[in-house]
Amino acid sequence: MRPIGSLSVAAAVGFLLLTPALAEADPAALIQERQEFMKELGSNLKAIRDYVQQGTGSPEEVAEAARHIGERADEIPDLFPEGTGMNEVDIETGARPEIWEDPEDFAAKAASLREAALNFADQAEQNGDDRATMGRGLATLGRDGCGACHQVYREDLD
Amino acid sequence: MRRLALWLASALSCCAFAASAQEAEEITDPQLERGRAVFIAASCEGCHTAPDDGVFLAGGRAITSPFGTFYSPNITPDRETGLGDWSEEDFARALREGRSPAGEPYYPAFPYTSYTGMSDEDVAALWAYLQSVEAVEAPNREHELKFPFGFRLLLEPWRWMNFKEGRFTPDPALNEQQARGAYLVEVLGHCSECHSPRNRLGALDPDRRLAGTASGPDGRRVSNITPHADGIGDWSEGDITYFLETGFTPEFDYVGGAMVEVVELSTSQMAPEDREAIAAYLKTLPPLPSD
Repeated sequence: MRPIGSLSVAAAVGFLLLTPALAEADPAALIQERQEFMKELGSNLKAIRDYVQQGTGSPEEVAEAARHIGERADEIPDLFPEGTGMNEVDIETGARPEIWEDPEDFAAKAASLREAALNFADQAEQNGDDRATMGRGLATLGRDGCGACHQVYREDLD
Repeated sequence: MRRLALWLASALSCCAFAASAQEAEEITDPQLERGRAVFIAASCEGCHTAPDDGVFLAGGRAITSPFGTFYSPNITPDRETGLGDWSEEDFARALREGRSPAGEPYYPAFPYTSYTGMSDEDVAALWAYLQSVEAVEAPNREHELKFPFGFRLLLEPWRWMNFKEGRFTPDPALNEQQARGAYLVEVLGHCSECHSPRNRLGALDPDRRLAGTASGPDGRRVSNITPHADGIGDWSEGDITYFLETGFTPEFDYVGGAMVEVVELSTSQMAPEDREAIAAYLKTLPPLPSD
């Protein structure tokens, strides 16, 4: 499936190698990387939505996309080193200062995304032909996986 | 004055943390069913339920501001601590005039400035629904406001300048669906309260309605939701409808801030045709750039 192509794999490898160095050296590069990271998760979510709404792709691909999101959720805390919040850099970023006031909770929210996405992947494997149920599951994944964190830690950007 | 504007925006933020959502019970009475729909569209639960497993509608949610902290009241039908002793007229007066049964003005943290436009049928249905929920004894907590904001008398001049009482009448140019959307956006959903900038007197700027603001609730940015390139100009009605249902934007970003709770407790639970009506209405707004 397209969103999990070689580009994303390359990006993932890039993160592993570069994240700690980038944080210290260049907040701008780090912020760009994490925005691309979020967009990559978004492209996988969009692939799931396209299956739910239009029937493109397959339940197996949906499960794979969700599992990919769940596995990458572990990378989130390292993508938010201190000094890269919205009040600390001149670049547009929605990273609220609360992230660094309660890093344990922030990490817990990333763990919730992992859990929600892996649960959804299990659902897709067992019940993937039922697109109405998958649609509700996607809404739940958004609410519990994305919303719980964005509510506190994400500033809305225009 | 900027502080006042910020305070008003902050006080109007009914929404910071997800409250416990009560499972929808089987409602068969059509009046209660309508009342629950009004309750959902008007987003009452978020403000009137304390975060972290607070009791449904028993109040106690803190709404912080530079002027002090407001605590939302108990709106369950408990006789001692809730609305149990109120008449339907008392309730209508609170929503439409922003006054307690004793005639005291409410702080506009309670968005009666929008609710004043509610239809008679919706007020009656909402009253019926609120009387049907479980009565819980939970005394209201006094607001903790800094001097001199504790003096409610100060609200009278503010109201005189900034509050216009009256039923909502949609623009006659709107079709039926768009008019329904206008009612949902401008009255029940009280969207303007957060999505519009306020002038130096803390009143909504009539020329900038729904154009977003950099200093919304809790000083946070709130998005422009007019059909301008800075707002949602490139969203289709279907994109808006899907966003209201799920919180996902067309680029598959996920909503942030106070809107997370609005999606969870209000828009995702609405009838699909109401979400479509909101989308249809937002598309008719004058496109305004962000600040």
